Amino acid sequence: MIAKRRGPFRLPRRALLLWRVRVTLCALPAPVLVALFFADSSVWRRVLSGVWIAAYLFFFLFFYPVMYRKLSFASNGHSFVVHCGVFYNRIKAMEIRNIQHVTCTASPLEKAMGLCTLFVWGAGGLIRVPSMDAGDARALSGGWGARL
Amino acid sequence: MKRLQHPFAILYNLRQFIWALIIPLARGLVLALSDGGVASWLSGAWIDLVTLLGMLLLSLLMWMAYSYEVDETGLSVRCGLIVHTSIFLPARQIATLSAVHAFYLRPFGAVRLRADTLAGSRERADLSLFVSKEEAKAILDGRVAELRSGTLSRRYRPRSLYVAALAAFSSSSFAGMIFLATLISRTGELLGAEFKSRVYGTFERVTQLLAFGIPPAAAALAYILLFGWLVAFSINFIRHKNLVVRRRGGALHIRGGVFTSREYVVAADQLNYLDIRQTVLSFFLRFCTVHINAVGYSKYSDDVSGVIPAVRVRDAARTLGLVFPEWKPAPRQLRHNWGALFKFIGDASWGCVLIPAATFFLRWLLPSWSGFVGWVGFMLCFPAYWFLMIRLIDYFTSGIARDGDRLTLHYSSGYYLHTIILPIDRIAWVCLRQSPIQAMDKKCDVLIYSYAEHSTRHHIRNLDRQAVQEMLGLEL
Repeated sequence: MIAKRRGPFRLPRRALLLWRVRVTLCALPAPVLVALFFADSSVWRRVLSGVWIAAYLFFFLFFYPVMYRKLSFASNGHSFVVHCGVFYNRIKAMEIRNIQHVTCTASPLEKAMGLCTLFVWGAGGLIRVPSMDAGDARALSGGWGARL
Repeated sequence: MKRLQHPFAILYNLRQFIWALIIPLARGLVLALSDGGVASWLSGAWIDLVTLLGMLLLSLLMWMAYSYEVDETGLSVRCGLIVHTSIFLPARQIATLSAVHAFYLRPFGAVRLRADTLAGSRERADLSLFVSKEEAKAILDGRVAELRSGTLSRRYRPRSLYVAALAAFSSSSFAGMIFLATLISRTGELLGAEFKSRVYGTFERVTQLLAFGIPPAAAALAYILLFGWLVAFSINFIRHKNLVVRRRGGALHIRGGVFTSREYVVAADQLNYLDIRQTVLSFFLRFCTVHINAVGYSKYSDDVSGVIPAVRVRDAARTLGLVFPEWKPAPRQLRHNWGALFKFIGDASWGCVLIPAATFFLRWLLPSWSGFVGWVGFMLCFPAYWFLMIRLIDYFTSGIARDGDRLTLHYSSGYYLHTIILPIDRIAWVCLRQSPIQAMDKKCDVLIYSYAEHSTRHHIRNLDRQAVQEMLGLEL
């Protein structure tokens, strides 16, 4: 699909699922640690529980959905453009002739879901696209002459 | 033809084996602690001699193993005793070739030659070797001849007054203070603690004499800053004295310095951007300085930094046209809206409010320190209000222009106003950043990262997003 269209392209739905799973896994130790270290102090227990629950809900319900909705990328024969950002909108653009090399990394979770993070390295800069479809990443970089 | 470095490299290589001096030092310490006596020390002196001879031998072997070859294709080096290394820098990739004639190398007739490309470390040159003066001249002349194409041949030599102006505008009190403190400390180690205490004692007496009603501690601080600036000014002036810039076709040949003469040959097509710089003072005096950004040029702290040290703003275009005829600054085409004042002075205002407030608070809290705190707070207000002034000037002057394949960027960074002339193909990447408030206004901040060994960011505030996208061709 990417090879035939200019864009803009969005991330697959499972990218949002991956981020939510990741934040849930990161939040799991929090109640254990709070119960372990603040068993004797109910005030601190409540405060810290409130903090981690608020942080978890912030990322789960607001930050990652907004990030998913705003993230898109496109490439013509001239430049590679990424729209991203949560509080600040960002448009990052790099000319294709300035691209030095491209790398694609996948954590075990990303690999299981067929996703990867694309790093586009230029001379003096880097653009990162998280949790792309692995096939799309290969098609995109293939269009620039890079093989992944 | 393969050549060896200048023999001075043998002495230079010794610094890698300075750790071996621990053997004679440890031996001396053990003997001193065991009260062995001079005779006992002398009887084992052969160990010290063997260690020193070993260091010299290794340095000599390293020098013999290091050979270089220069021709029209590039510069190649072979080195290494155990692990053999071959390095080749193609001539077309060498951005800057420089020769440093340091005063301590002159008795040996040696010159330090450096070559730099876009790749490699941003702190050090890609290749650095010692050659004879004649060899360095031949290599640099050869490089100029390679790059020389076309009939353009110009020479620019600024007056000493302009060099002094550059030194004055670019000198930092802190850099001078660090230099002075290190000098006094090191000299004290050589000449004894009494030297250090004499210097500091004299300074203390002079400060008390010249305090003029100001608390002596505050006066000491002010004089330290002043002396620091004077030292930095002197160093910068000596470094940039005798500055000559020659343009011969595609080669830019820059030379400057008094005690240590520095010479650079920069490929004109490898310039990343031109930077016309002003401070608040030079803005009101209608002066500016011109710097170039090229790989390997002005990389080290003691390098020559500017190419045109000081020129009147009305003469800048003519002087630039002399040495850089293809680099012309364009007047602003895109600028911010007048309502963006707070975007420019917002963060600068914090210091202007918080420093006086903190000063009043501390004077109330610590009445016995009232005089000192008041004076220091007053002095700290100067950089804060100076920064506010820069941002105000930036508000009236910032913007972007495009002239063919070159962008002209007007913005401020720190305490400087910049006019950057940047070729489009030297842009690494661009970021248009919009805060929620800017999103409502359809404005954005433009962050342009230029092509270099390390990322250099140019930040222009609050431009129309659609217009910027059209100008930079970012519409998709």
